[in-house]
Amino acid sequence: MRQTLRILRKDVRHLWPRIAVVVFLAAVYAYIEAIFPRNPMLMFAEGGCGLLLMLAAWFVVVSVIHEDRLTGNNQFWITRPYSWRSLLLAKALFILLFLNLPVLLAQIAGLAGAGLSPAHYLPKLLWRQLGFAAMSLAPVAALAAVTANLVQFAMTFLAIFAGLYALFLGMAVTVGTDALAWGSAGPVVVACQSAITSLFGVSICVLQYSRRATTAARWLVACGVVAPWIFATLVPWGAAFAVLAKRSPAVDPTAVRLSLDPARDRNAWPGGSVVRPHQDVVGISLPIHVTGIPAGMETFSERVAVTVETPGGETWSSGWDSLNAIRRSTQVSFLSKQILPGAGSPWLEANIDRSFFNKFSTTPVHLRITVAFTLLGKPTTTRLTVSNRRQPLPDDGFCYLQSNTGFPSPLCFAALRKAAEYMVRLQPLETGDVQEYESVESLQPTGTLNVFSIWERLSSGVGYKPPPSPYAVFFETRQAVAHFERVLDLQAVRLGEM
Amino acid sequence: MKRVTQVFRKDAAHLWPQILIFLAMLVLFACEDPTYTSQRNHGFPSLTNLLYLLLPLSCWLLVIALVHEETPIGHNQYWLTRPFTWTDLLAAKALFLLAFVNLPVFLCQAAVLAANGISPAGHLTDLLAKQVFFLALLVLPVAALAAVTKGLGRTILGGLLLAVPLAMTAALLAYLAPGSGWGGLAWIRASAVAAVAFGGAVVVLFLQYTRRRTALSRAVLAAAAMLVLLLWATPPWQRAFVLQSWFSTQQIDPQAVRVSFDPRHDVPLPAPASNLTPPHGTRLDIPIQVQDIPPGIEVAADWTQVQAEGGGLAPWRSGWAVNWGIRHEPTGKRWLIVFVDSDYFDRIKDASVRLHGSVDLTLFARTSSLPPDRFADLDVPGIGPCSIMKLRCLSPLPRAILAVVSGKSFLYPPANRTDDYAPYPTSPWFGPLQEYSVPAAFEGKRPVTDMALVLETPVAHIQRSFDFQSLRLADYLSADN
Repeated sequence: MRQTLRILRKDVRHLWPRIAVVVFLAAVYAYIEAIFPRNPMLMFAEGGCGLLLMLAAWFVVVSVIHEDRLTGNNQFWITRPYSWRSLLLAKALFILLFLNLPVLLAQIAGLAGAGLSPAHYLPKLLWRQLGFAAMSLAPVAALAAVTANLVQFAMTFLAIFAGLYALFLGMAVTVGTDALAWGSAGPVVVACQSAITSLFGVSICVLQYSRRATTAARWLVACGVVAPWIFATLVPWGAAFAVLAKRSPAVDPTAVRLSLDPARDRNAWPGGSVVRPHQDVVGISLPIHVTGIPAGMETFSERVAVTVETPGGETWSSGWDSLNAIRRSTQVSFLSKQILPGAGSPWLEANIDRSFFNKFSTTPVHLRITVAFTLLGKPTTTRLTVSNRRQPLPDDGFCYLQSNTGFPSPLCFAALRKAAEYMVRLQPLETGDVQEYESVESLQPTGTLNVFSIWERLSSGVGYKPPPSPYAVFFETRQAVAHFERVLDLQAVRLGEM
Repeated sequence: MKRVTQVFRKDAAHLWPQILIFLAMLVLFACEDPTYTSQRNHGFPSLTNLLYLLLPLSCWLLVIALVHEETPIGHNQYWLTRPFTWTDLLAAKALFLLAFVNLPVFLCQAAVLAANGISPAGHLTDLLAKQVFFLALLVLPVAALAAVTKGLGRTILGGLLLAVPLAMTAALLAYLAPGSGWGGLAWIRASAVAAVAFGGAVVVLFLQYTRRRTALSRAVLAAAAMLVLLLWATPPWQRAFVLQSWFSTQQIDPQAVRVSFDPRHDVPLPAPASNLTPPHGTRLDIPIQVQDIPPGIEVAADWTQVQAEGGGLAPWRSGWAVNWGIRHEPTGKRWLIVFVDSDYFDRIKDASVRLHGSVDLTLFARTSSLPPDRFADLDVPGIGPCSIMKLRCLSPLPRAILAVVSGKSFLYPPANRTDDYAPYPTSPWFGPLQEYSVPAAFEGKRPVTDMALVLETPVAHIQRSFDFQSLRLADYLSADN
């Protein structure tokens, strides 16, 4: 331990200007978060500060690893009686003390400055620190451990990124970008990817510090870069959703039932099926009843798996195709169509392989349709007024309702919490007619470079066409409360009639 | 010249990995720039965001490595013992930058224009102007920073130490003085900023390569950075409008276009006025009329300056403020929007006040109308390819403005005038195209059927004064306060 502390002190003495930059940036970031949280006038400053903080953190990680370089054979420290454990521990301690701790303290200060209880949010903050260390710092430390200097590190980092991007472009051409759109199952896949990345990061560091086996470690880096994405490509969506469903509260089997709607003409489908252009498929559609949705709640139709069995025993299955879903025709936004409030006349839309369809379009077949649902809880509604001032939301949130070229645009945030869905209602006070704009938000997780903010975005901030003045604006959010599957079994149906 | 090419060849041989990485990033960005590929790359937005960051980083890595090949700092570098002159060295570095940074970016931008149906030859001056701004703002300052630091680590640290206080000060100034943008005249300020950045970087490089006076060079670099910041934060400056008026293409009679108080309409301004960040203070909407506008001309206010007198208090002056000047509604009514100091307003709101000042106006001529049904995908003259379905136009530099009209009145005036009057593009960014939204009018979820898109071109920049007597300011308090 004494040796560890000596190395730590040496690193601090050498790198204090770089540490000072990180601490200063973290302090400024905390100040903006606390006093001007997500203020539209300081958006650029906040984003820029977060970006600089991330770059500075990476810079410090690389610097501290390169202080006692691991590649090569003529470094001074190899001739000293260092134990690799002391060295590794000193580096880990340095990162913990001068990167994780300042960021954690900045987030605590941000919460306290905004009048929230840091103790209440401490588990979430610690979880975030784990994510920051695993996803942002460990991979950078691993890469630094297999490079000799900053230039080599930067070059390797950029080359890895370019290669990864090219790989994605190839995947987009071959399997389509929707293969990576995980929807609600996203958090499960991202958690697994994070675990894989951090596992590789830690393994590479241990390997390098214990044996200085640079060639083997570099191969591990290559594997570590590709493995999370191979995992994401290969893992079935259904398996990820099953994990999610297993962890969520059970839903009464009698709640949310599927049935065919015999009252609607199957040929009266309003159109809009999504056909993947590079696959030879035929779109089918069925008028569906979704009943038994608990009062005040909504369901979100995730993916749909269709299995067709012919009387001769031939079977075709779509798998969990991302383009198959139950949709309402009344909504403009693609994802909003999949929100099912109970009322309305939704259609089940699915793609069937063209050759199978042509072969059995007139044959009575057994159709087994499995639909994955997310149950959205009861709404939290807040009335907003058009103003540049911050307006509070329940559960430690707030909104700015600004005018975007005359269109009111709510920009809302909450402390360390996202909403699965939000809705904006514009209601003219004279006529009482309601314009609803619904949007699915965090069911489609989007990546961000900024992992430091305590404020999660609840709405996209787009502007909506206002009704005649005067009017009221209501902002409504819902949380995902359960994930489950329902099956619709149809015997002796003909595909050609759909 | 032989020594120049020798150094050039040596640098190219040493730095080929950096060159390769930069070119790869550039090609990836050209293929994936969300400005024109937003439909294709939605599968991995986080990677695209990262590309935005890593493309300039790869460029800077190349520039820094180039300068550090023969670092000007210190006294025991190998190249000091060789028969190099500083002109050879500087010429070789300049040649390298032109060959491996500017030329690839230029070719990439030309290819992107061609791929989007825009003739690169027709926009050659725009592309060259972009190269100048790219060099002045993204390349030379980094080269100067590399010239006064030793090693990549110190360059990064120096960059952070320079960027962090500057960025903080800029953010603070933007927060303390909102509404101090330059609107359509921003290109003049951008040009001044680029000129100072270019000049500062050139002086630093000259000092370092001729005399290796590192302390002096660092001071010059810091001073240039401060000057850039000051210029960036400069509020609207009347001389810039005078400069802009030289670009007027139509003479306007000094008696035409008069601004006067309109006592006949007392309707409050119905909608929030703008998405621009408003200046501090209490907002007043004063009903006005603009008389004797030449036929076929529309008027927009760029900057306004207001003085209030009355109530036995000292006069209050607003200073020049951007684009909150005159608001024109579809009904034909106009309002002069004024932000008055809140304390002053509280003291004077019920008194009889004289409000006078000046307004800088730009006159737009309507050049043609484009009915929306013909406008699904069209090459709009003066802008570029536009799509009403995607509600956007792509252009290296729009020289006209799209507005939505219904009958004779505006439904939605143009939202963004930032680049409206620029004779050349001022963005230093790698992408050659910018997205400009097509204003669209919707009733619920369906477009207004009788609307038309019209093209307008700025033809004159004039200044007019106004003088309103005996106003009770409390009567004109905006509902937006």
